[in-house]
Amino acid sequence: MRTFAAILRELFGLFVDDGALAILTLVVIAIAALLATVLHVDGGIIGAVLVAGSVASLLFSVFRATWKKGS
Amino acid sequence: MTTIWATAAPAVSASFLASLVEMVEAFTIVLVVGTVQGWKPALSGSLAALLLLAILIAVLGPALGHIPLHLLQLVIGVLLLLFGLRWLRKAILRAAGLLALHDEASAYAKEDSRLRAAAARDERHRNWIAGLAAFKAVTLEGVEVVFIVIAVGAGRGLVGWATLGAFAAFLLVLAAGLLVRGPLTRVPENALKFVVGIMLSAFGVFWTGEGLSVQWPGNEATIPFLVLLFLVTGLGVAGLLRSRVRSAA
Repeated sequence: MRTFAAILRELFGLFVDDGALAILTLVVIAIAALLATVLHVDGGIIGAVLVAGSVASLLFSVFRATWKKGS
Repeated sequence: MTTIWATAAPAVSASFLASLVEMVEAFTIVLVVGTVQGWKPALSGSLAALLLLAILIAVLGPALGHIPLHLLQLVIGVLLLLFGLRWLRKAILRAAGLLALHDEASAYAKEDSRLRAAAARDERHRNWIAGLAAFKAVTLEGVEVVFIVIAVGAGRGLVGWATLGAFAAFLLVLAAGLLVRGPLTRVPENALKFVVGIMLSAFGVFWTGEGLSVQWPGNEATIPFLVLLFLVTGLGVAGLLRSRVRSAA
């Protein structure tokens, strides 16, 4: 049973390592989904939000890790 | 044939490289089990895990066909983005010297001492403990391989091609393992994780967009541009942080 619990824990860890990165990524996707389904914004803008948002989330998470290391 | 290959190549290469990393990690643990406790528990644990993975594929495979394509693309895109960005973040921090590199030799030594201690604590169940260690390693890494194969292949009906990439990685790790007869320490794991993180992040953005009905310019031709963007970002940030770490030292 403990082995299966460990497997499930590690499965969750496949997608979530730094919680802030996961939350930011999901927020970016939620904004893109909102723009697409509720506001019916042009697809090009949604694509740009996804691309810029993903890169920004990554950069924030990486620099946050360096700030943590520095403090 | 050229057109098919041009469409399938990103899925095959992403699946091959990601599976290579996962299989090297699983191989290290199975090798420890085989060396410490013998090949019977190592192979039976691995085979049980492969059976579980086969059941998982048998159940998941047909179920995927019933999910509406846009929803499938969205779910896969979100998971790929979470998975890819996580790998890329770790690879950047490792390349910058802010995180220790993954070392198969030390992973081998750690699992070796963990297994020996567990076996010493419970003499009667040594084979069971060893088999369980192999089972857990192959299941965990195998689930990652299954996810990657489905994720990079399912959105465009390229699961067969992605499986081919994973199978090639399996054969390569098996051949290298038989040749080296030790942990595969010379595999440039962080460089591979860097590349895979970039590819999976690019696929993730692309499929999430497809799931939200984004019309990417040139359809799949967008993927190489997304790869280039994440590559430049990753290398740029890693280089910047590395120079900062060096000047601070």
